[in-house]
Formats: sequence, C-alpha cells, structure tokens
Amino acid sequence: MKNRERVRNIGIIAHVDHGKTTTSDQLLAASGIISPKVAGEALALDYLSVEQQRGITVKAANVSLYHEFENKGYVINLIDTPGHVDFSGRVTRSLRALDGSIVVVDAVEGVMTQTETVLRQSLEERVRPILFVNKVDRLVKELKLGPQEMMQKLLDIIKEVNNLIDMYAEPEFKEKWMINPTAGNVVFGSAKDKWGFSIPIAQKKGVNMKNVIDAYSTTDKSKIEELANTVPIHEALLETVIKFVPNPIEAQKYRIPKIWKGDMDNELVKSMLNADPNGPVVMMITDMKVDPHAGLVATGRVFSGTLRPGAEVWLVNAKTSQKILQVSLYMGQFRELANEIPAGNIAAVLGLDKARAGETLIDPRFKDLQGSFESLHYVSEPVVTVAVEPKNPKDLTRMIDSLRKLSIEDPNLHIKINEETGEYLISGMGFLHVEVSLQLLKDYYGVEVITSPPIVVYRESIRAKSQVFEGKSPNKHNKFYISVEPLNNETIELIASGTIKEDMDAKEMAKMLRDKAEWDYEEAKRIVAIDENVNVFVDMTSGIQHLREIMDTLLQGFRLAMREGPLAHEPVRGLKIVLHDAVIHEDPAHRGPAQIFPAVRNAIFAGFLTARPTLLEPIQKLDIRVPMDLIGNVTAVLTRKRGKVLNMSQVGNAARILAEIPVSESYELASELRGATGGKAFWGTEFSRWAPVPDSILVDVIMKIRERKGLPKELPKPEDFLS
Amino acid sequence: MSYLYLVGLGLSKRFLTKKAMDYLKDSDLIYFDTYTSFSCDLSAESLEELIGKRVIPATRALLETGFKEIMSHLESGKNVAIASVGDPVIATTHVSLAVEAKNRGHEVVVVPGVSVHCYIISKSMLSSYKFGRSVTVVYPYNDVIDYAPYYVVKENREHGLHTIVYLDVKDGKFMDAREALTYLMKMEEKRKENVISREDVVVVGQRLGCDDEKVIAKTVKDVLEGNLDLSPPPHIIIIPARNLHYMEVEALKCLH
Ligand SMILES: Nc1nc2c(ncn2[C@@H]2O[C@H](COP(=O)(O)OP(=O)(O)OP(=O)(O)O)[C@@H](O)[C@H]2O)c(=O)[nH]1
Ligand SMILES: [Mg+2]
Repeated sequence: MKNRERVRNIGIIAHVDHGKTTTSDQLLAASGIISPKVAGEALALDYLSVEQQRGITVKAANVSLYHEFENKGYVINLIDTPGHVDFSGRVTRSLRALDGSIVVVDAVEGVMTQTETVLRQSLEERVRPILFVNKVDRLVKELKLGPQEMMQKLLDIIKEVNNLIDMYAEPEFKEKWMINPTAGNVVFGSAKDKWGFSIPIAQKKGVNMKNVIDAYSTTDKSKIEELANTVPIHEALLETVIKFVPNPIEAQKYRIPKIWKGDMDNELVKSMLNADPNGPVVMMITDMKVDPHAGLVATGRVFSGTLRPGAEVWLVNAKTSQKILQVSLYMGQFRELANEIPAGNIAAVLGLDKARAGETLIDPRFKDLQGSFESLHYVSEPVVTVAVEPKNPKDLTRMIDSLRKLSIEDPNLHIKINEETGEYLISGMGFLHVEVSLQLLKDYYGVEVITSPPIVVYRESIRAKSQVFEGKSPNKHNKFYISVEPLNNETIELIASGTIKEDMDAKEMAKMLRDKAEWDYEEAKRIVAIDENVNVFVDMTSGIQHLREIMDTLLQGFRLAMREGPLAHEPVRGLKIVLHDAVIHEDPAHRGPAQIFPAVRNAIFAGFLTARPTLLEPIQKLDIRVPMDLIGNVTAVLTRKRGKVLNMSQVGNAARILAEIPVSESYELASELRGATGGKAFWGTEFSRWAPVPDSILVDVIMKIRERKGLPKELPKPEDFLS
Repeated sequence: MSYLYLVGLGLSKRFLTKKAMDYLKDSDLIYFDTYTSFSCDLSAESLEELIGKRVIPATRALLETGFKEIMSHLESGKNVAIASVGDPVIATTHVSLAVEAKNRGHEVVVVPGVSVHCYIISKSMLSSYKFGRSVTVVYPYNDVIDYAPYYVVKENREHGLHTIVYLDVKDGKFMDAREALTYLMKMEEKRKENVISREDVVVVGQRLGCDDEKVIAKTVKDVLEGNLDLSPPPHIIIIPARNLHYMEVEALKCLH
C-alpha cells in the first residue's frame, strides 16, 4: 500500500464564529464528491472490484476530499471537530485521529481563548498546525486598513500564534512547526468570498494585498470573483496541507508515543509506529453516528493492521469483543464499502454497537495488554441539566429513542431517567450545549419538547479531615471503620486529567502521587479504587478475614455512595476515603450488596458531615472583548452575577477582559452583556473549575436543591448514619 | 421492661409447638419474618388464622433498618414477637435484635423451632458429630463469584467434616441444587484444589417439611445431568466428608 503517502488526515479548529463551518463548506463544495476510482488510485485499495454500495449521508463525521497537486492525486480526510466550546472534550478526541490541523483565526478578532485552547490541544496531541487567517475582507471593509497596516495586523496574529506554539509545543517540534509566511504554512483569505493565498502561492499567481484592497474598495462584485478565480481558497488550503501535514506513515512514528496510553514495549505499539498494514489491528473510534438505515456507524483511524469485514476486534473500554460486519471508506460525504482498509486511513465500521466515541479497538490476541487511546475517565463533567417531555405526548417513544441516539453520538451529553418522577433529564456541559442539543432533537429528529428551567449541577465535598467512623450493615454483622479527607489539588488535577487512572500499575501510580502530589508512598500503593467523580478509596487494612471476597461489592458501594452525597444528593468530588478496619460476616448470604452498600455509605457519610462539608459549583471562564469606553458596563454585569475579573488588557482599540463567573449565574448572561454594551461585546466561554459555594449562601443553595428533589427539609446529621 | 420473643415456627404448620403458640398469643405485636425462610403453608395470613391475632409481615428492611421501631414498641411496654419459619437464630441474623433489647433492659426469650439445618442432619442420617461450618452459595454479584463455599467445603473435608450448603434467594428466586452444584464445579474448574468432583455423593433436600419433600443421596454428576426428578426449590445440600464411617455409607445408600 505504498500510496498511503498520498493520504492526509486533518481537521479544522477555531474559536467560535471564526469561520470553521464556512471554510469546510468551501473545501467540500470545491472538491465535490470524489469518484471511487480516483480515490482508489490514491489509496491504492483493491476494493474497486467489489459491488459499489452507497452509504447514506448523515451529519458527516468525516468527509474525504480529493486534490491534485503537482500531477499527483491526494486524498484528504477531513474529520469533523465540533464547533462550540462546550463540546471541547470532543475536540481532543478528534485531534487524536489527525496528523494536521487548520487553525482558523478571524483577522479582526485575532487570537481568542478558544483559539489558544484548541491550538494547545492540537500541539499536545502532536498534530501539526497550519494557520488560516480568515475574514481578511473585514480588515478592508470594516477597519479600512491600508496595505501596510494590513500586513502589520496579519504579522501580529502570526506572532501571537507563534508565541503559543513556542509555549505549548514540545522542544523537538517548536522550530519546525513555527508559522512562517515565506515558507507558506499560513494562508490569508476570506472563506466567505472564496479566495485565499499563501505568500508562495501569491507570488506564483502574481497576487498581492493591494489587489485585495482594490477588490473590496469598489462596488463592483466581479473584482472579488476574479480574486476567487485566480486564488481559490480550497486550492490554497489543500496545497498547504499536502505540503506541510505529514502523511500517516511519517506521522505515526512520532505521534504514537504521545497518544497511546499504556504499555509501550510490545508488538502492537511497534506495528503502530510503522503504520504496518500486516500487523495486528488497532483503531481509535472518534465518532459514533446513528444512521437511519445502517444503524450505528463507528468512524475512526486505523493505526495498525488492516481492517476486514468478519474480523473480531476487542473493545478496550467496553471490555468485550465484537465482530466487524462492514468496513467502508468515506468518499466525499458518502460511505463506500471496502474489502479492507490498511493502517493510516480513516474508516467507517458497522457492527460495533457496544463502542462509543473514544473507544479503542485492538486485535483480540492482545486484549490482556494494558493500553488505549483514551480511557473512560476522559468523558467530561456535565454541569447543566434540563428535564424534558415531548410537546405531543404521542412522541414519547420517539423522543426517548432520539435522545438515546443523541447521547450515543455525543458522549458528553448525558441522558438519565429520574426513577421517582419519570422525568427525562438531559445534562450537558453548559446552557448552550443543552440548547444546541435540543435544537438538534428538533431539527434532526423532528421531536419538539417542553423543558424545565435548566438546573445547574453541583458537587459535594469537604474541607477537613474526619475521625474514623464505624459504619454498620443493616443486619449489624458487618462493620467498616472509615475516615475521609479532602484530596489535595495536585491529586485532583492528576486524576481529572487522566494522568492517574484506576487501572494503572500500582507502583507507578504511587510514585507519581508521591513525587507530584505529596502522598506517602506506602499509602498511595494501597489505593484500590478511583471513581468517575475524582474520589479515591484507600485500603489500609491487612489480614481482615473475608475482605477479599467482598472487595468488589465494597468498592461498588463506595462508587454508589459517591454518586449522591448526603447534603443534597449531588455527586461527591475530591474525597480520599480510608478504610482502617473491618469486620465481615463469614457467610456470603449475610454479606451481600444489601448489607455492604449501606455499611460503607454510612461510615463515609458520617465522616463527611463532620468534615466541614460544602457544595462545589461549576465556574466558567469568560474572555470578553469590548470597546474601552464600555469596560465599566461589562464589569457591572459581572459583579452583579458574582463574577470576578481576572485580567484586563488592551488589544488594539479594544479591551480584553478575562473573568470568571459561576455557571449558575450565566443563564441570562448573553442577553445582559449584549444589552449593557449595545451588542458591542464579544466573548467566549469555557469551563474553568469547581469552586466552593460562598458560605453565606451555602445553606440556601442546599435547601433549594433538597426542595426540588423532594428531600426532607432538615440537613442530615452525622448521627443519621450511625447506629 | 417488656419481652422480646424470638419464636421459631418450624418448617410448616405441623411443626408448630405448643410453646411457640403460647408465646405468640402472649404478644402485643407479632412480626412475621418474610425473608429469611420459606414454608409451604406458613404465612402472615395463615398464622393470623391460627392464633386469631393480627400478624404484621416484616420485610428485611423493617427488621434491619426498622430496628428503632421495634425497640420503641418494647420501650412503650409492649411485648413483641418475631416469628420466623424454622428456628429464629440458626442461620439468620436476629441475634442483633436480641442483644440490643437485652442492653436496653428488656427480657429476651428464644423459642427454638425445627430448622432445615437440624432437619437435614436428621434426615441424612449422617453423624451429627461430624458437621463442620455451614455456608451459603450465593448468586454472583456483578459476575464476581464468591469462593467462600468452595473453601468452607475444602476446610471441612480436610478435617473429615460434612458441610451443609444453603442456597441463595435473589429477588424471590430460589437457587436450586443444580445451579448451586454448577457454581461449585465452576469454582473447582477455576481453582483446581481438588475439593469436589462429579463422582462425589451429595445429599439434596427438597421442600423440607412440605408434604412433597424429598431427600436423596446421589452423585454430583447425576444431579447435574438432570435425569433425576427434583422437586421444585427450595433445596438444601449436604456435601459429606470424604472418609465416611461405614455406618454412614450404609445410611446414605438408604437415600438412593
Ligand atoms: N466577513 C466575513 N465573514 C465571514 C467569513 N467567513 C465566515 N464569515 C462569517 O462568520 C460567521 C461565522 O462563520 P462560521 O463558519 O459559521 O463560523 P464557525 O467557526 O463555524 O462558528 P461555530 O460553528 O459557531 O464555532 C458567519 O456569519 C459567516 O458568514 C469571511 O471570510 N469574511
Ligand atoms: Mg460551525
């Protein structure tokens, strides 16, 4: 398969509204649908003999573009990276399957928070960035800049991007990946008006900034069209990609050591490093879509081996094996069946209904090997929830079905049934994420829903260390002696980032915790569980009879207790739970889950309530640009909403305000900011952190949640969990 | 000061003792323990009929977490009976109630009843001197098998002792002898410590105390292969020691 040298796997990343969608639309429209024959030549695949079956267009997870450059055909796989900041967990996942990214920056707004975030993520995944400065037309039409000023403005943006590359790229890539206009890895243009060029292209085609200014300085639209004909944007971008983004074989050599998490010294990894089509199969799933005809379609990157229908693969996260029914390649927006797809390519696979975005598939012979591209820990934390019911009661089944599909496609969207009320709850990463999902539900599945006011999700935590408490099972024959304390920030960070994972080697974990988070090595070695809400269970006992037999039940009990804390039945976060001693009934009939669950829970909660308990609320970061004279109006809105200004600086003639605000206060933020500034403020938001609710409103917030959930109106006391 | 009676009813109506009836009649409140055991004809209703008093069906939750409720009745001067099928203490966990009541200054009376435990020992005709620890085979939880039964049988057999094996109840479903032996054989397959084999003779009690009760001694293989006619559960199993007394060998033959 020597022609995998003519494959490029790329994505487009940008701050909100900088032109991601417009850019991909341009690429798509211009290259149209590639014919299988052409793609076949480029991919050197032998599936052409197979009956050609056409897939159905869904919201394409991936499109393949075809482009000829210097008389050679190339296939460029463009993987969808989601737009809104609230979905940023998915950006990292998509990036992992890519070798290059087009970073789109609005020429007027310049580098914004999310530009920084996605560029940083790209570099962290060793995905080589190419810069596209978009909306250059605005520099002329709106800012009325001359050629000199325009060049200065563009160079400023490049400088800012290079600063970020310098800050976030690893040493061996810094030099090589710097944006350099003369080398040509930056394109200037207007996606909307379909033109664009790099410096080398401009020189070749005899175009310059003066032409751009002229084109926008007349009422004659044909000047712009002329520009688009001389230097079409898709050509500029695709050529740049072909020249600067490495092919998969080259890229995997240095990317695998970075993106593969787990054992490195084995055949699987060796084969990935060489993108060996004859090695064992390894694939990362970046996206799951529900296709109305084909069912669940898994899309992802083959890193090693060759995918073939009928083969069994092991799903690392789902811990099960499944059989591949069909494999196909993307052709434009369609899927075409293939006999086999070798390493380095993007493939669509049918038959993997147990997989979710982020899953790693491997050859079943290697299933005992520790490793994957992404562990389940990664899935981000939803902070906003709404209850929904169908506008038309007849739509209930359809709504449930559609919600299920939505959550399969977007693992950051959580769907839950409230068992007591029968309500369907949708949780997302922000008000906007939920809003967008409901919009999808309506536009794509035709289900209209009535929603409750959105509810912000909290976490429960503690601020002190408790004594050891005794938790008894209902039959009083099992006892656990447990203390709780807050995890330090370093530990929380290590777990939340997935650096520390439950299934990693105990010694390695202990070493890391000792070196980076001030743990006692011996204690760290005794960590037996880490749950999805960043709580750690430590077993400091030794020689307790029957403890081994019930350990799984015990830890399950711990996980369950952490899902609903004692204050307001919100998830618990950031606890270290230490088991000091235990008494366990000798007969399995008297130490089942019904006994063990309450016993662990009682001990943990009694300790919890004595350890300065509190609620944590989600805090959002805001990056606002506003004319200097309106700063006061913005800060007034922020202050009213418990917001805090972190930093203020001047960018051109505008102010850039970095601020934080509790998500609970952000519901009407958009309209208020717009109102206060006459629509002159622009901003981006991003999840920042969990922070304790101020003591002055703590009880009030807890009581409101308890009331909403129909819990007793008194705060629970430690005694409630002791007997 | 009040009385807490822990009353064993025996396996079915015909096992009810005069003494048990007397204490029940003397109680102000009668709870019928509905979860620990099974009987073909004893229930809260049938008991109500027999003694002519209200009988409260008590779930596990009430007896365990409703602890305080029972104590408060005693405190208010009422005599409380907890009636259990079989024996009130053997193989259940009511001891904690007795201890708590005693600590609070109440009197506790245990009225023994015939339990499956005694019943199967008797019916098996195995030497009662030679029984080791009993154990329950439970359904796997989250696919995790609890190996306790395997090691209890192992230990007993190493000391030449018989093992009474109780079977789990889960969501109202009784584990039957075939399921239990399948689990035990699975444990043997995994651990290979030579604890139980398909050729071993085991005693299987079925619906003990009911009119259609059966007690048989067969090989594990016979039970597993299903060419035996087992009565519906509940079942109980004895795994006899390896080196039986010659009299025990003869006795088991009577159960073929
Ligand atoms: N003037 C000008 N406007 C543009 C250009 N490209 C895109 N836009 C406009 O910018 C707005 C945002 O463009 P999109 O392509 O939707 O941006 P996006 O990055 O996909 O936005 P999100 O998906 O919301 O993150 C739209 O109104 C576009 O018409 C351009 O080259 N010049
Ligand atoms: Mg978009």
